[in-house]
Amino acid sequence: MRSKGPGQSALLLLDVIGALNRLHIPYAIVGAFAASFYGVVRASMDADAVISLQPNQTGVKRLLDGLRKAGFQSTYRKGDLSDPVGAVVNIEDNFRNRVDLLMNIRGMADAVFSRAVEADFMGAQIRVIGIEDFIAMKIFAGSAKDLNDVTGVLKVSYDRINLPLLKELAQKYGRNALRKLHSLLQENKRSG
Amino acid sequence: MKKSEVLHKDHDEMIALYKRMKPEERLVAFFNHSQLIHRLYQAGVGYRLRTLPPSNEKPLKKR
Repeated sequence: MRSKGPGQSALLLLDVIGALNRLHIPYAIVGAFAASFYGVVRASMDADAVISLQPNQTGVKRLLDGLRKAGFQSTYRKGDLSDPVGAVVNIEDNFRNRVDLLMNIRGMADAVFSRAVEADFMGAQIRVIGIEDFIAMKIFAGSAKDLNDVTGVLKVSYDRINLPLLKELAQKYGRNALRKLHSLLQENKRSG
Repeated sequence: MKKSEVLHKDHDEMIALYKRMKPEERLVAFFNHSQLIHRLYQAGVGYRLRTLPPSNEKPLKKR
């Protein structure tokens, strides 16, 4: 295990990624860590990743067994049918570092995993959600914090975004998401 | 979107976790976290410089 103290969820995440790779489970880093990667640094101390795994009994058992064999303590929580997040596996170490693996997010297609970008972090290869998927997800989540992340990312990377792809992704999350995207793009085009 | 109950419970657990820490522990945690997030931010800058059109963006000075 890489973590040696509190505040090292990023290192716990690297260990969890190792286990996911061994289990051949595709993943993409999302949340505050992806925001930092795309230029918006904020203080949330847990690490989030989405994984490509249906929350059925076989897949989940394989994941939980794999994590246990790799030495992780994990808990599994399933959302009800109306929950936009199908299930979450929470992994915690002795230093209170936490990693959340989210699965089956409503509106999210499996292509998210093939569009994830590879980067080097602390000597390991990581996969971070693609910028267009990141923005579309954040707009769908829709809280003030999420929309601030989008604004920040647009300020850093507006000219590097594949706008047709972004609009297509936002549309999959519904008409409101698309409307919100248009308004954020307009605001940040003007300011940029 | 409708708020996720599973994520809401998860968030509550996180808050409870940090409440159980002493202030000094929280400070150490935040210090460690900031260093790692800085490395992740730098990884993102490196990625943008490596793969995308050039811009005026410069990596932050290494501390």
